[in-house]
Amino acid sequence: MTSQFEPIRRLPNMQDIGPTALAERDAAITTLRGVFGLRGYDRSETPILEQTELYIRKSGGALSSRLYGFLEPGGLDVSLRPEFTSAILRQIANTTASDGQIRLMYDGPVFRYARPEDEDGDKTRQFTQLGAEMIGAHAPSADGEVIAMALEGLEALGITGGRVVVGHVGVVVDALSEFNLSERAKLFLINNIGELKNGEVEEVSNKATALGFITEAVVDDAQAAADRERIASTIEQVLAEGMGVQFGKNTGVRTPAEIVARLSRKMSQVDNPVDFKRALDMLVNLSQVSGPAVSALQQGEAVLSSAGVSADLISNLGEVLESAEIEGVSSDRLNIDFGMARGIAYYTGMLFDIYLDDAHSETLGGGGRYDGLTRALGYDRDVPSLGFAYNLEAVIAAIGSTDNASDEITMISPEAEGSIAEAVAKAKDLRANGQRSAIEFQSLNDPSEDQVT
Amino acid sequence: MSNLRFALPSSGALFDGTSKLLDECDLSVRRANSRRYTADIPSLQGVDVLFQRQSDITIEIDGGSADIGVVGLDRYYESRLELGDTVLLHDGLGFGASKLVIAVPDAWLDVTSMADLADIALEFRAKGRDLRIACKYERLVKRFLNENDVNYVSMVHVSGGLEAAPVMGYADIIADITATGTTLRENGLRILVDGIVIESQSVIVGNGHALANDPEKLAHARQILEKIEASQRAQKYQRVTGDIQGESEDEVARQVMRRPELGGLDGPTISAVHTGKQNNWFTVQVLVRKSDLPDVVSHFRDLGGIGIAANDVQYVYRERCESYDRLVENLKPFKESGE
Repeated sequence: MTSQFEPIRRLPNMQDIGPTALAERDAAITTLRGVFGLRGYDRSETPILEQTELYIRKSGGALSSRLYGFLEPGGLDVSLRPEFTSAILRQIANTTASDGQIRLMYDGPVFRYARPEDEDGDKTRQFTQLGAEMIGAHAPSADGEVIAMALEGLEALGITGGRVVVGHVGVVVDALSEFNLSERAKLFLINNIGELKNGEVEEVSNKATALGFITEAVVDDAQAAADRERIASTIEQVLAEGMGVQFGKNTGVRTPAEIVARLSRKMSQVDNPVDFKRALDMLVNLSQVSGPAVSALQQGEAVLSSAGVSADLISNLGEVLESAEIEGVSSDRLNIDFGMARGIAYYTGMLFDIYLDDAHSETLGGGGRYDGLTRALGYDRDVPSLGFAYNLEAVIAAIGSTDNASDEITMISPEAEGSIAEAVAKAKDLRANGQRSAIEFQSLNDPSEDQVT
Repeated sequence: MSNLRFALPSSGALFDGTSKLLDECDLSVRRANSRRYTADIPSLQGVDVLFQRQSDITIEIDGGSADIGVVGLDRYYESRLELGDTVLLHDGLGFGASKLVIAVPDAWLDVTSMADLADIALEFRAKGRDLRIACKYERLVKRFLNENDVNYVSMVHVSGGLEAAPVMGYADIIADITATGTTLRENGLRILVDGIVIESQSVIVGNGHALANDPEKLAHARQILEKIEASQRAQKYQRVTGDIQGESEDEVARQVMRRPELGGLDGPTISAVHTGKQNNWFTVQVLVRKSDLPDVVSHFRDLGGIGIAANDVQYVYRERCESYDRLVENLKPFKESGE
């Protein structure tokens, strides 16, 4: 007999998880909670559903375009969490005014959508994060602790080949600040560091040209001055006659004065194409610097020096790595990658990815420092903070085969025992001894028919 | 086993382009009259043509009421259900080119890029209102805006005449389809320099389940793909013939192949000209890219060639049909086992 309905299929790129995998996950979670707990981290939980705004304020387009967002029945724009950090900070900023450090850990499902044609379009859209945040710690040695703990957790799971690749957003931002560029230009360059690292210099240059950062024409000072004068007089005219007369077109809900004010603000921040090009060249070189910590630090310093930027900018990164070594991380497990790009935009300092053996494998997790996130979330102070999270499914895959199979179940047949009462009593006895047991009930199906699955 | 249901756009640029393409491939559609929504292809039995509204074709294929169809890539991405079974059969038929773009009022002199727009959205937010965008393809547009950090937006649904929305005051900016940008300009709107959401053209999509599990449908789809692919390839080639004197076929071949890049797709075909007299003339035939035509002509002249002529060809087939091979690969997940 067939049903009048179509079977309901599982959503694409979502997984059902069976007993064995769940047992593996539970075991890993217990181990990691133990490791973090010994270092003073307490557990915390936040809702799976949050206001969408929590995740779009500072996360950046790469994450906010992957949100599972929808209008909830109460009329609010909400999203399934794509990560924990923002919610943990919301929770902390709301509840404490402590000056000391707060160490929290968390685990649970996160959701990120990817289109089938995206690079990661075949990846699962729900996965489990287990992570930790240290809130209120400024010293580079805190960065070292977090990196060390990330590797320590893996070791506790029997993964000894874990290593980290460390980058530093702060170095890139500080270096770009030496080129007298607008915020807009700096942001553009930072957002494209991943492309530059991949050698897509021409593509980035083309984009920069389209946006007016790079101009083909040679702009001499006299011409630039003339341009400025011409534009200034246009603005003056517009202000005097009104936008309507000059352009005869609609400005929408924005007033001509608002437009002109913003335009003149923008013009005062116009970037010198020569400076921009120098910054771009520096970043192209810097993004290519990666490898073992000691040599990469030297190369990074050399790139900065030759671009006329103070090489001292790198000192924080050096201190971070040093403190990780003090924590017992051997230097051969620490690699640097100045071109490291992260899909999440709230990082401000050190950031790192965790790999098994070589950096080309799938990342097991990652994290970094995000000192400005509290302010971005609307609180009145910056709280220096950092943290990381594992992608638990990737970590468990790296453990390889484990023996977390559940004990066997003893099935008890009422027929064989003589009655249901005796079967129940026997099962109870077994359970009292810690043995798994269950009653074998008769199936509804006619025994002559094959079992329907 | 049943007929392949082939959904075609019932009107507009995509209708014209599809008709032309099918005519060129000797797959002309026969329609009793223009009000009929079903038709057939006399040269290809076993195919039912269904004329559908463009906006419905992806949904029809997703739902299985049509097997393959011609749609705009933008519309496909916008309206496909990911749980559905559509697969891309052909990723560029060469017509219906258009762009989905973000455009702002021309008078917004300070807004030229998506970064500016992100800024404006924040400014609007600070004043307690959202940036309103009138658009047709909400899924594509919303994602593009998010990718570019333009987060505080509200979508305004408008059917037709999007360009007027900012002037009428029910939206601040628009996302619209444009081929040349003229209509936008004439309505006082300007495309942002990096405001291209998607560049689209017509494609063929199909229902993976139907094609993977019905060999007859797949065979018909294959014939259509083969002809389209061969016809599209043929547009890039011409057949050049010329008479060249030489001692033997082999010797003429060697002369022609002195420039191997002009030797044609599969090497030259050479045959003796029988004039009844001893004259050693051979007709050389090569299939070359149109862009190589001038070089081939001068190469033939250098070899003393006469009677040089070039012809268009209707189909150029290769060893394999690429789009069919790709399709077979894409159909693997849809194959029902045990049947």
